[in-house]
Amino acid sequence: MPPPAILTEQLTRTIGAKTIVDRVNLSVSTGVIFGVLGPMGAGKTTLIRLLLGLVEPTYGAAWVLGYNVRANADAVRAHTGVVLQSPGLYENLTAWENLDLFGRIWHLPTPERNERIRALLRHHGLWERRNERVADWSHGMKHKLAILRALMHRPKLLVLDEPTAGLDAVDRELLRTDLAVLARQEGVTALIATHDPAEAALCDEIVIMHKGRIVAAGSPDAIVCASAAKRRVMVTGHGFTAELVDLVQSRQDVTHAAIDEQGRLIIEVSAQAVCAAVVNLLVESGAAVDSVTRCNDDLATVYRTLVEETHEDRPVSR
Amino acid sequence: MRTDLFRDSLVIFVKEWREWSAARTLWPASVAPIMAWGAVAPHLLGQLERGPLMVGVLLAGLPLVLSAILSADSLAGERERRTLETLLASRLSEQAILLGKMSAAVVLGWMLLLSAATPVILQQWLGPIAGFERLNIATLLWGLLAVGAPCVVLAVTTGALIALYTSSARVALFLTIVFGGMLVLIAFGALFWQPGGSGELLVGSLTLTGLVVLALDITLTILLLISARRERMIMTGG
Repeated sequence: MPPPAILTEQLTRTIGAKTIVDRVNLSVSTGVIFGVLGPMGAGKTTLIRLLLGLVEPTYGAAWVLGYNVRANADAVRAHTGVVLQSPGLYENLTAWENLDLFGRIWHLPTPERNERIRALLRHHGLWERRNERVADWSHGMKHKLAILRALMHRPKLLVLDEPTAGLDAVDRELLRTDLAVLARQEGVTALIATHDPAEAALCDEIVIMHKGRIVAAGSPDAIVCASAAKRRVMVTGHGFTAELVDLVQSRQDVTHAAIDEQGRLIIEVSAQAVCAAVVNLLVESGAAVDSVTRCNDDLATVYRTLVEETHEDRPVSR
Repeated sequence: MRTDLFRDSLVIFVKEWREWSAARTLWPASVAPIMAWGAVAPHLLGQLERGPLMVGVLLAGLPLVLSAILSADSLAGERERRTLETLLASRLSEQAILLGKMSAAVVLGWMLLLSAATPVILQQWLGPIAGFERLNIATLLWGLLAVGAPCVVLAVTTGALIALYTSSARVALFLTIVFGGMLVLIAFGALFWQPGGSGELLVGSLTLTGLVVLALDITLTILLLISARRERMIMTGG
């Protein structure tokens, strides 16, 4: 079994009294597309900076591609392609010149460099615009070029901070396909930081970060399933009174009950099997039940719920 | 390792020049006024007692301030445009990035200095300007080389140091301009303080001044390279 592409132990970064990244434990397998999902200010960018050795951890340790980040950050960066939140392109230069600059930085020999630039621009539909100044391009095109720049030296690890921001639906799909191909065929590991649950849902594994901590970890499906322990059901009918809601909520296996704006009773139960007992209780109490529907949570809902909750508990390790 | 440092610095040097070459307004906005000033300044000031020295300070002042600004902007400006972090996330060392940027700004500063001096040299060669009769072209060239050239390095290094320790490009540029202005004022003050000065350019004093500035250059460059840490370069003023 190959060593993990990324491994962190209690990785922590504080600035003054503020903890930006709080005891993060990660283990990312080689060749997977790994997502770090979290709202703005969750600590995603700082986590990326820590993994690249751009800032030093206050506490804890990280190994990327087998290299200790504190001791051997140069080796980490040498094998990593990075696109940070801003495309970071030289706007006065053309697309070709931007890629050529990074080809030189990576010490690619001239014939290989030219061939690589040609292949990347052609494959991603930017060949015809190679001699245009990047300043005149749309945000989406700039982002696409920044991703190509990160791929110039065929990195083993690709780190993308909000990679599809500004991309249209077609380009998003193309990027996802390309990342999947890279991950599977070339064994490239991709680390994607995003605030978009739809983007994270396409990753093999994810962590959800909030206030510097990991609050959930696993595959997107596993996170949704784990969260479904708190299952919600929607009951339609009549006779749902405040007393009835209190009665339902008094059950130990019901975590929450409320009547929504449409007069439906929304109940959060600890297990799906509890539903029948709750419906019986409603009927016995004089309510008329027309239908009972299970609310299917998706990653976006789970993410929203997790972020909205206050997390005073210990961080989750993965 | 050392080969990599020079090779990488050269990549950044070429990148800086490509960017400046592509900035269409930079050249007409800087070289043209400097050359124009170089052409008229001796006529305006040549009659004064300390004419040649004063003109020297005035001619050098603008290129020095400009090269300091370019140096500060190439660091603080890139940090603000978020291109610096991309460079820092690559295999380049902090020193290679800084040396590349500084050397590009130094060469540009030297070119600006030469642009300012060329009209004076040409006019003097065609026939002495009034008030400059005793000014030897060779001495003027020596002044450019011995004092002007290291002063450009001083301006560039100081601009880079200011950018490294300030929180935003705006603050860095403001402080750099203040520093440049102060330097010119100090140079003026030194002219008037010089006891019994004749206003002549003296090879000995030029060489001595040049050596002092060179020592400052070396000290500040070492300081800059030691202070250059990725975290500081990203985090602003850290």
